[in-house]
Amino acid sequence: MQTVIKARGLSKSYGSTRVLDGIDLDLMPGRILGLIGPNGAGKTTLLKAILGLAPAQGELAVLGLNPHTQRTQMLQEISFIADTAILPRWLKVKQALEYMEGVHPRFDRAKAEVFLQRTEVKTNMLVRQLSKGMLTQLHLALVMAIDSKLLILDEPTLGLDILYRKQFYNALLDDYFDKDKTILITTHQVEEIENLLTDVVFIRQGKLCLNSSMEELQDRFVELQLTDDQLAKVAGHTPIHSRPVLGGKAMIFEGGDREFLRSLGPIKTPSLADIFVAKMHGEKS
Amino acid sequence: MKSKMITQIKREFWECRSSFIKTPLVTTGILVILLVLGIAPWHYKIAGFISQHSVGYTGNSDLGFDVLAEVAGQQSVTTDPAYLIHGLTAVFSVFTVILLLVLLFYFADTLYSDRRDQSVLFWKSMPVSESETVLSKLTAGVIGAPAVYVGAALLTGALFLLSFLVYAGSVWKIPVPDMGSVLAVFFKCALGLILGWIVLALWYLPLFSWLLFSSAFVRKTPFMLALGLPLALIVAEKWVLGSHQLFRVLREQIGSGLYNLGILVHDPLALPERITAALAAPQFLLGLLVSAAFLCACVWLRKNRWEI
Repeated sequence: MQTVIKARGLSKSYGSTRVLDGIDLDLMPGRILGLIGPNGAGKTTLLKAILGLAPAQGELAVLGLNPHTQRTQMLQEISFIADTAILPRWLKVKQALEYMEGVHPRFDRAKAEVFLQRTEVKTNMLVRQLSKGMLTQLHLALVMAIDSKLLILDEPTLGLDILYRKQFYNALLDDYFDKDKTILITTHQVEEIENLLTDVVFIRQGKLCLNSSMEELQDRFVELQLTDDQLAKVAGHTPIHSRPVLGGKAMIFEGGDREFLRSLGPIKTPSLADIFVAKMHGEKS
Repeated sequence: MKSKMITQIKREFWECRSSFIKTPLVTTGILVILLVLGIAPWHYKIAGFISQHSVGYTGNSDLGFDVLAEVAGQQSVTTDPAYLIHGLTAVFSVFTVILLLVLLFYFADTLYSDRRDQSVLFWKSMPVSESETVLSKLTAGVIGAPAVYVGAALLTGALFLLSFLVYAGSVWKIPVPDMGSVLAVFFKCALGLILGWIVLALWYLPLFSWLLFSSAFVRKTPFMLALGLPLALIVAEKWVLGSHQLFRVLREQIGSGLYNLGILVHDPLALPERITAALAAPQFLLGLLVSAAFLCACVWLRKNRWEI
């Protein structure tokens, strides 16, 4: 099985600022990877490198191709939605369909039309007449009708209300994703994609500080809640993060002796958002 | 591959619908209205003139004056349809001037507009190479838009001939050239216009490519670079060296294009001679090389520096 994305020692600097710092990444087919990081962590730069939009040092192959030199060929098998990749306002919906049909060998116009029929978007409308939500529906319909191997979504639901966001991810899972397809997604709304992901990567200051499957995550991180008078019991076991809760503290441990922690109190798998905060906070301190 | 290029060119027409399609159609409409408005008063003046057998009329239109002279001399104009060529040339000139203005704005904006409206990443998510993008924009400007303008000019020209002949024959009751010679004039001018545009476009290629380069190069306001830099260089040359070589070169390049168009509209058979003359001019050949360099630079900029 061909690795969809393979990066080794991927680095990039803008002047003296190192935005990507030795990234190693392997993404296999049939996975949904969440790329999560604070603003300015290097997410967009990494995506740009993967899409061949910005060169980077190190080794990078996407579907076995060099994203910079074999970009046009690569883009036949990759589709991409970014909050910054907006459809031109003068375009009509039917022109968008005709354009994609004309330039994209893997675009299925009938499929896109079926997707659009479920929405309020009419084919004779201009892009400038669409609301933000409709625009995302249109873009998603266009992209899902491409039989691509890799779909890259960069903050795809930014600025959408919760109904559209739910709809977006449902459509993605129901109508697009299958075992031969791979999705790479970045978002700030970690809670919403948590159940969608098979893998997760945290990026901070150009470095990956977590690269794990979601199953591994459950084995690796434990959250323990203790009341203030129990706190002394965990001395010697350093949590990567602790936050105050009513009457005590919730602590997140990475690795650690799970049996011991269980003996102290109720343990659970922390949410992705909590792990994210813990990792980012931990790295800072 | 072929359909990809056609789709790319269609894309340009969707984006530039007003300047590529609406403008020539509106121009046709306005010229036809002017034609009708112009012919009607003529009709009354000439009718009055004929009834009075007076020679006191001093029309300021050469065309009208020719006709009047012919009428006054009671000569048949059958053997000399030359005045029709003047009318057609006037119609074609209007379209040429408007087209050149439209192309000035189109080329200076087209590789910038997608960066301005932030749709560049959408276009870049399609499997279309930058060479294809640049080439399709050049083709849309050099062949696509002119095809519409030539079509509209020919339509206007045909309407001009038709209405003129109908008026001359049925209302003014003066002898008109036979259909064969009218058609000959029309098709000669039509062919001349098409060939003339091709030769003009070859002379203008370095200018078009410079405008494209400006639109790919700038962060904003491509016109500042497109027109500002040549102007600044001309002024600087005048101040520093006291010469005006750059101005002369530009004037020759622009003048040669129009000159060839003018000749070919009157005589399309002059094409081989005009081509030979162009190829014998070092400035023309150098212009083609400069065009190639600018176009390559556009592709490079789109690939490597689109974020600006």
